[in-house]
Amino acid sequence: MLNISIMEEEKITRQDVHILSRNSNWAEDSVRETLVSSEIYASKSSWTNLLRYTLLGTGIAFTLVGIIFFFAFNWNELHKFVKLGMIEALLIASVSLVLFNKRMDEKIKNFILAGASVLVGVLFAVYGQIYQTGANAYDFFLGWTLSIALWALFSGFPVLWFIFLLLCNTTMVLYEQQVAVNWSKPYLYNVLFLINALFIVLMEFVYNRKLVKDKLRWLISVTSLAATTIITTLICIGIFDNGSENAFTLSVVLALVFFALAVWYGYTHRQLIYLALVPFAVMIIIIALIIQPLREPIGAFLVISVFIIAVTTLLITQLVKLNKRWHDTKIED
Amino acid sequence: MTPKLKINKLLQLIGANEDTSFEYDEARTIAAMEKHHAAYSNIIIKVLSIIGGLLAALALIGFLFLAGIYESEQGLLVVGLLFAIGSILASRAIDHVFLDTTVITFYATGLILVAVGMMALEYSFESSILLVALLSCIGIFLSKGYMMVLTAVISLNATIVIFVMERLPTMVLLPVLLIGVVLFVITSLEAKLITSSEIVNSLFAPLQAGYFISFLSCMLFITMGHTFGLFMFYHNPVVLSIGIDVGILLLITKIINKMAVRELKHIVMIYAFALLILACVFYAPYIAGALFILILTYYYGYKAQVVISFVALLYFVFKFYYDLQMSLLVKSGLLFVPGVIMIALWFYVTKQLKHHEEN
Repeated sequence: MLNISIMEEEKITRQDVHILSRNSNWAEDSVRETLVSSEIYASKSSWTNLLRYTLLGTGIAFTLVGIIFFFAFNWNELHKFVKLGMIEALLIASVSLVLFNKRMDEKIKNFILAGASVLVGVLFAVYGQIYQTGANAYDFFLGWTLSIALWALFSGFPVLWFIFLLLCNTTMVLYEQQVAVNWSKPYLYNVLFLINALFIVLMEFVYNRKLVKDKLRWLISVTSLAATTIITTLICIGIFDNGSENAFTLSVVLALVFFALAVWYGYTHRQLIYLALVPFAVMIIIIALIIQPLREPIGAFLVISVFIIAVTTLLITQLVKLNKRWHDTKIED
Repeated sequence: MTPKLKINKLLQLIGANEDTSFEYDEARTIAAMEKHHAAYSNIIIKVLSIIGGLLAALALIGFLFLAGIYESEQGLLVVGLLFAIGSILASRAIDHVFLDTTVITFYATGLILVAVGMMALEYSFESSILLVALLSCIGIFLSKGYMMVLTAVISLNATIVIFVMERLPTMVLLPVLLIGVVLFVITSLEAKLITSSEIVNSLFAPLQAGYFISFLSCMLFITMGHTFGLFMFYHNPVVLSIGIDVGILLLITKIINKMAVRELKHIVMIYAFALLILACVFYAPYIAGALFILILTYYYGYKAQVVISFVALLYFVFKFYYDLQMSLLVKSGLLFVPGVIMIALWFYVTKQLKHHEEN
């Protein structure tokens, strides 16, 4: 029974058509018809959807950016209440549309809400300009982040979560620059790593419980890539600085915990991204360890090159095997 | 879905419009599907292969140069040739997709070393570029494996553009146009090409992707403007713009047919709107170029390429407005008005579509 349901779920791919065509006397016209009928080529309905979303999406984006540019223009002549009032009116209008329009498509509402989230930032920027608080004050970004937190939470819209995550990171960077000036850079990046790692955990939870309808894996992948890059860079920097700082010890502990959890989770939940990212990060760290003690790393380059080829090839071989095994067991189930 | 089930599903699909003379080699088809699924079904594996290959190549070139290979011009050329030809042969002999990384590394390094070696030995520019182009052609037709052919296609296109840039700088946008035309032809003649012969069938996917990447890279190179982009050599984009615009209009015609738009009023409106946009960005052919690949890849269902084209378009539009030598107020108007027009069009299109669906 399950086989049938899987068969219905999965579609014929372009590659299947190519392979069958290579091994048969399949006629050209029939191949073309199959490419159309199996919806490998865009169908009429997908064009309709594209037209709807693109026109609306670009329309809103252009209008919003146009408005932002208008405000950015030298507008000293306007009274401060007019400046703030205009943005607030726009904000209220867009949020009202989301709240009270019952017929509007959920996706479109989400995009409007994402637009409104950007408008909140504009509002804060204008406030900062009028009252001379500075446009890059950390509390401005903190305010922005907190203001859209509820929207991000209840919309369940990954694009909005992405904006929220960007804001969290920016706030933290500015906080370190303006308030926590005694923090060392490695310490800051440890904190940034923790924020992103926490996000990954939350998003994986949401994904596993199927709490949102929209596609979420892209955001998890992007965040995992960001978190892994941050912690790997931190450790490499630590290695070249001889790991003198306490923050380095913290990075090593965090990396060990994160890498172990990621590999465990990736393996048990069949998420290849972690099983690719972690070994690759470990490879980079080992390379840093090889280069660091050498004064003239000529020979090291050859070793590293062979090392990268060996590790990547091994990694790909194992991932391919694993992927195939997962796929086969899925069918047998 | 197992290969067997897939084949059955495909045969069912074909059965409706295929005569009884249809024959296929079941064992080979199943084997090919299984192999492809194992190696290429996952984008993470693809990306890993590319990044790994690139890093290894950089380390290897780093070693060769640190070891003083540049001191011997002959050494550069010989090592380069060995790497390039050796990797082509290896890709044929060892039929394992995971070795792609290693093979591409040596192939790419080989091509670079050959170019540098020829220059160092003071051979003419023409013969150097010709040798690299020749090695790329050999790579396309004689090597096996998706990534190898893809690398060879990109390198061939790069040699053509570099040659014209150096020797015929006023025609520098012509090879770009040529790449666009080949991309259009390959993508739109898929059924014809994959049924023409086994070799062309195997070459199709990397050729299409290779031309896509080449065209996109050219567009990116154009946006760099007068600093070190293509406009540094020649800044009249008329021929390129007209070429790309014709391509877009051809695609729009195809879409109109597909959507079965019959009313003359609607057809005129669609073309007028398209021409208006194209006229606005006539002197920024990179925007039209990104639009062209976006529509092309969406039409023919290349999902990854659609996403890449879309991101490119976003960047190019940003770049376009950033480069405009106008005040913020004028720019604001230039953004706001098209935005409102598009929202109005959205209302109109949604209404029309609803009206159409109801009938």
